[in-house]
Amino acid sequence: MDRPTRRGAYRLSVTVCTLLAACAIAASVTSTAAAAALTAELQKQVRAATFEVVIRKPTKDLVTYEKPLPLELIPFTERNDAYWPVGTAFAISPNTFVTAAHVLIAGVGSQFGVPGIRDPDGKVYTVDRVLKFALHEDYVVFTVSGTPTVTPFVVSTAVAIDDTVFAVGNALGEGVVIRDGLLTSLTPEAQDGKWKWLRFSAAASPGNSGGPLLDAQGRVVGVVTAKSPNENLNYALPIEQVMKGSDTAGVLDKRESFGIAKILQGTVVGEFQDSFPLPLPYQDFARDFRTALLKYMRGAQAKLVAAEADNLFPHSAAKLLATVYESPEPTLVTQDEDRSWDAHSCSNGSSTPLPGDGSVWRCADNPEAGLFRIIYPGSAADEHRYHDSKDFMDVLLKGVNVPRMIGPQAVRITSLGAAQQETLLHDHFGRIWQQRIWSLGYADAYVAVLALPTPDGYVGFMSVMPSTLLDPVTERLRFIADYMYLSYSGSLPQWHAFLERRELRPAVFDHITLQYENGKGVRVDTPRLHLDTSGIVTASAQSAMDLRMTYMIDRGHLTWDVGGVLVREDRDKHTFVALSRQAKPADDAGKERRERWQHMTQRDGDFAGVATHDDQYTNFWIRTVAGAEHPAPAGAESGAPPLYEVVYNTDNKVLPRQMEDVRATLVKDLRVTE
Amino acid sequence: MPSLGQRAAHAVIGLALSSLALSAAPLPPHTPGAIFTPPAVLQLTNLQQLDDAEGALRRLIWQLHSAPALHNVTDSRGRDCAQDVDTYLLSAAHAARLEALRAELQHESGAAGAPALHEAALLLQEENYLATLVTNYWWLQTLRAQHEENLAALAARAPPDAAATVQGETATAGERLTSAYVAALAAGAGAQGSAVAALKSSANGLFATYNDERGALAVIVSERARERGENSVEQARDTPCPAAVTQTSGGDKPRPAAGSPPSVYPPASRAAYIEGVVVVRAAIAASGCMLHARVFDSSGVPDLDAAALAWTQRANFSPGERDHHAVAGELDFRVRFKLAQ
Repeated sequence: MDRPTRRGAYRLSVTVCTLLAACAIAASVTSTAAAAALTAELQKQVRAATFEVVIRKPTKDLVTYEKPLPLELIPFTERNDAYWPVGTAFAISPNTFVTAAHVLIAGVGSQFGVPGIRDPDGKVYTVDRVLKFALHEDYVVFTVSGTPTVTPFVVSTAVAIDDTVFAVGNALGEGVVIRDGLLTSLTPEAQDGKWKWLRFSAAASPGNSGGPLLDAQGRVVGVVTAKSPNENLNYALPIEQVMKGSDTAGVLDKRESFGIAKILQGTVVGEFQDSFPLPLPYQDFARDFRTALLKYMRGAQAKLVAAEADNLFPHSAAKLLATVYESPEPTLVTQDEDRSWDAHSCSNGSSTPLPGDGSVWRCADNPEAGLFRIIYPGSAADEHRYHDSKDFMDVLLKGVNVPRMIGPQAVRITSLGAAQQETLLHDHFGRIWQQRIWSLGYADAYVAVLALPTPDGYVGFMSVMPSTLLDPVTERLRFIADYMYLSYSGSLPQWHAFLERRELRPAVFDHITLQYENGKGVRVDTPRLHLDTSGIVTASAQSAMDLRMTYMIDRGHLTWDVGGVLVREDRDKHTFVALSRQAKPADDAGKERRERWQHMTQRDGDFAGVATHDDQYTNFWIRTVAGAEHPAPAGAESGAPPLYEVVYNTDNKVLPRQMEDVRATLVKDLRVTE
Repeated sequence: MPSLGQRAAHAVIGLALSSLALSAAPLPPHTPGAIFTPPAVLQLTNLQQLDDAEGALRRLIWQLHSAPALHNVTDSRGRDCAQDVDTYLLSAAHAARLEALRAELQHESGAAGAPALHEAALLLQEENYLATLVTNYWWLQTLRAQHEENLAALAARAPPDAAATVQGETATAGERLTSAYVAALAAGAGAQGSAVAALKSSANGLFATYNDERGALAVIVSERARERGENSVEQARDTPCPAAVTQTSGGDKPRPAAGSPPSVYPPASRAAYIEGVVVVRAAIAASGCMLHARVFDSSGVPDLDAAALAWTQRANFSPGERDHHAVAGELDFRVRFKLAQ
């Protein structure tokens, strides 16, 4: 896409990029030797009919950086320009202009107002009304406010192969330049063969998009739209298509392969087919376009979900449904190539310590939606952290680097201020996400975060996108949110505050109660189990608890609930009691899992309840099994009630007999009721 | 606590390896009672030494508690090793007292800490003594289980009354060992010497009883088998006959000759204090070559019987003589497996 790189280092949604344009004219090429030239008179006329398309830059930067920006490294003209050049437009009548559709769309959703055209004197005329629009053919016809001095081009539909042509445009943002070449071929449009692209050898560079392709007499024969990836055979739309295009409706007609990369294996053909009446004032056009794009995204997602209904989670997820993962970091539930579902831990994660004992962890596996986890320092509950978007992002930025590129220098951002937008979203499992959006003004981009409050901090996704793509990308994030797998952890005071914070925590915690008193045990009651750690794990301000979540089929329904409890005496010590739910594995489950279940039911093997130790005699543990005395009859999966693996571990000096006492106490103070 | 440390390493490495392969255990002294060696006197000069000594004791407790060889062995009281470890080693009172002394030592240094160190040393010395008793008693119990296994196999083939008598004798000897052990555990500092002496004696007595009674029963079983015509399997010579022996035995029967290699004591049997006598019947050719042999009177221990036959294959014999000519004949002889005292 014709998008000047200096507008910021962000990663486009690949899907949306291919949808909106041919990702055209991405690299500059040097012109072949001039074979022909326009007369000086014609050149003057060309310059009088051709304009830069520009988007206003922000006047105020709300971003805080680690150091003063080395702005002197930015080229002079760019540094002093109040506008970003995004392409080229040309006049076909005194107040009728043409450019490529993707050039104008680059400004749709811009945070800084309406795009405009700029004359050679630097005067900017904003787009007034959109007269024609065709996304797939990639053109737009519009008027501007004000009365620029214009000598419109003459239009010609008579072109022949080997004619000399000139590509005119704002190449590389350096002002309007004219470069020559030959019309080399006519290539049928790929989707339905509805027209033929003009292929030409005149050089085209970033910024050429939307400019005119002229014949030797200086007449417009086409609209420059795209650059051929590896050769100097660039694309222009015949001007005839523009002239005969509808002036009563904006047309969207584009197909693409649609999928949710890294989550779902399946794909469908997404059909972006829509229209809205024209002419429209620019703002209404922008609104209608955004609406149509979002409608398309939602429709394509729905189509994908319908097509994959038999493959979607929890189909083929037997292992996941029978496992409580211990991963402290959030992970995504994703579909493997064999279409089975599992939670895979991050393969490209890194952690940044925060002052104190907190940290920011992030995973770079999925650049469209970077997973993160924040653990705030200390073990006290801090209510304002969950209601202060500035504080939230300041902490996140300590672990996630979103650098601003100034020439070759990457300058770290330390604050984005308070979020511009903040909304609450409920996902499929009743989890409540804080969707927060910040402006990255210098790049006309947004930072969007979906954050899930946890007792000790947050987990979530972060994505950076150009303003145009805000809606589609946040829509994508919401889809992915359903697939996050996480454990909840925190100190006991943090848990207390978390459970009280009803508006920000999932309803599944409504029926969980936590009672503790320093120096005594911790009592946890859930609808499925009741645990009292008196005499085993003693509560203090340093004590911590994890609730490990699991998916299960409960009475025929996919349920997300607490599958494991871990109560730790001290964040830094290894004295804890851990319960982990185990559903009966399916008959076709792996041998290892079936044997494990066998050992659990028979209380032998690893589950014999024999106290044991590591090689250094520093860590001691005992493992046993708990199940319901009277399991609920309308019981769970496979007919057999689940069992809970129970582990007590300590790095205190203990003797075997003390471990036996712990086991006896555990069995007494643990009740399973499912 | 070097003595306990070594003792623990010695005994427990054996225990850890021994569930399948007792032969891998370090060779114990050649009488069972000798393994009850009182620990050396313990002296502590600083807190670190106290921590090391207590750490070694705790490790030993865990090792004994989870040693595979000690699983599933019970003694005449019906108790197992883990129960004794829990009951007798580092009692709650001792652990609490050690903790108190350690706390005291963290605040006192030099001469001021000497009384606490002395008390801790005495306390750990007592623990050493108990640990030696428990460790070695239960080690002997695992060895006793092997004797018991041999005896049970033999008893199944013996006349019931004879078997019952033998099992009664061994059970009584087992109870005697257990009583001596319980008494030694309870013995005060002054009585420990005599208690250990009694323990050693009853340990020796127990294994001697097993060996003697089993041997006697094995002879009865062998006789019964012969009466029924169930001779033991004959083992033929497994190498070609050597050159003829010129010297005869001087009598009409063949005899073992000088220059035979010594018999090999099966290491597992030796480690378990298993002793026995095997009577072998061998056919000797006129050349002095052993042609075939079989067990005539079993020791009651398959390993010892096999070792006796193996020795017979390598031994030298002189043929009998008649009318100044060497003649073939049959020979019965004993192969003894007896541990040095």
